[in-house]
Amino acid sequence: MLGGLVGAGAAWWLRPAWAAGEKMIVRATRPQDLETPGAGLDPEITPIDRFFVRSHFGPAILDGNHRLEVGGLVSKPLSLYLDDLKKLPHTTVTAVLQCAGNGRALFKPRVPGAQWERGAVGQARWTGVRLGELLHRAGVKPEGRFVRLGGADRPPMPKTPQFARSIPLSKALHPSTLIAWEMNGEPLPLLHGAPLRAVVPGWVGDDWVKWLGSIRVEPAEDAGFYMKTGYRLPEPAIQPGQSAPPENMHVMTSMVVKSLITRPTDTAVLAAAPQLIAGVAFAGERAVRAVELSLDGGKTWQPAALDKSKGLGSWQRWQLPWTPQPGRHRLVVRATDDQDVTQPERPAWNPGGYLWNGWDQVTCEVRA
Amino acid sequence: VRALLLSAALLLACNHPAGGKPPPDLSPAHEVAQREQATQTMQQNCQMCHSLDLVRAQRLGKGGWEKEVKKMIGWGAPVPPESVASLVDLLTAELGPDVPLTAAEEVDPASVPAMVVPDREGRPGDAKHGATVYQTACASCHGADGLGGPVGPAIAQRPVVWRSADFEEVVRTGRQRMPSVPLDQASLLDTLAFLRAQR
Repeated sequence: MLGGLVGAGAAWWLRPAWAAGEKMIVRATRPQDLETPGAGLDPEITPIDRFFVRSHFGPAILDGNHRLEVGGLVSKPLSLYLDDLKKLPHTTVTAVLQCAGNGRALFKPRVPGAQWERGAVGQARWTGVRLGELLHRAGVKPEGRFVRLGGADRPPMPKTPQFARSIPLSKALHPSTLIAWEMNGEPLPLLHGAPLRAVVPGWVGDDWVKWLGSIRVEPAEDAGFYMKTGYRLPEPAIQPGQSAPPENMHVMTSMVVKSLITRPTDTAVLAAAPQLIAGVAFAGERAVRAVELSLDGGKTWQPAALDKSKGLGSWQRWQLPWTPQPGRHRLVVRATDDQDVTQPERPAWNPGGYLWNGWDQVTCEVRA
Repeated sequence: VRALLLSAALLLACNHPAGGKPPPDLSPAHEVAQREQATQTMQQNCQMCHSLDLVRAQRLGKGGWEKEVKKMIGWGAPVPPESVASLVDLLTAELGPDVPLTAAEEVDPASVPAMVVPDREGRPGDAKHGATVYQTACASCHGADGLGGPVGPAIAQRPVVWRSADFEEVVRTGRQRMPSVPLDQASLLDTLAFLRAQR
């Protein structure tokens, strides 16, 4: 029976949930922070025009004379035009990009920053050269332990720190970690980092540096704001509204287990007919093992059918057949990763509002 | 005359009980004026880096706002020291934790790329002449190299110089602290050429 419904669901799947005229949610007009509404998260691959946008300082306009510099602790520094990069062996990965602050608006008390709710996340196909390939060609010296990815987007005020992130050499050398110039088979759009951005599957979006200007191999993490102060989480956890001593604030790396309901959408009005509840789930560097739905506010749970993982850092779709009675329904979802970590009802509060992964929920009305 | 001076001194003494510091003026008119001034502080010192919708979406207590304003000043927001307290008070009153949220704006995704697409077709100007114009008309605020000065944000290497219509509009009409700058069309394009060549 399940097979039949899932089969019917596959055809039903093809109907776009994204209605004509659907809008992006503006979290900031300048620099651009745009959130994908719930229905936009429904397709396996998020189309570019509904993919969330997060900018530190707005697009750097890098003209044809721009070269990507690969330097620091290497034996042979490289200086490459985009055309040079495109001649190197390249690869495509399908991976979820999620802003560190996705869900920030759901923390209580509220914390400062872009007030993202559910949609600072999407999955795309990213094409580029492996960062490992570039590092191999440049020859990493033994003292090199981190790779600094420098953004070329310039802050408006001289005192504002320029954006840069460091990732450990092991992650930089992972075969999924790319320097990309294509998104969903199209040239990387300006708002998504053209001409080049980092793609770091499984890890939080702050490492996916846009408008990439330079790559440097260094003995330690960058000493700038975005490594030493920003993008850190307290461990052990702290009480809401409190702060942790600096030594307990740790650099974020992998995303944590999370699932989202993409059908029905929040506040939808539905017919009392057989249909599917569906969505996506991801767990950073881990795979998702199970997704469960609750129709009674979290008292009882039933398993959803879950796709297999299609590779590091990709999301897995899930679905559950449902024949609702007329009335108001609150649907709640939670996922469990392959290390048996389950999405909590509410995650521990943190001062940056990072990595929200509380149970996702939508409320809908079913009419006879 | 002496009696008059004395009574004036007494009056002053009564008005300034604590070491000559005037007590706060609690009249509604004063409150309105103060709020207007704080709003102006926000408009003049925040928007050079980000739009105000980002600010209006926040809900923070006084401690949170103090921390945020301090961080932004550290990052170069030229808020005058004497305006900090009233700015924090305004933000806390209007965007405190208990203030109801307003719905975010929405945008048609089809219109988004056009917001940032560069205009590479702009008529080429004379960068050398532009450098002279820039030093006279812009450098005192935006710095000698266009990478930002004490009160003016960076303009070189910023999206605005790759969109000549945006650039022209800002120069012609001014923006927040910046007055309109009366440049002839050729000088404007030359300045743009200079800024585009800045690395």
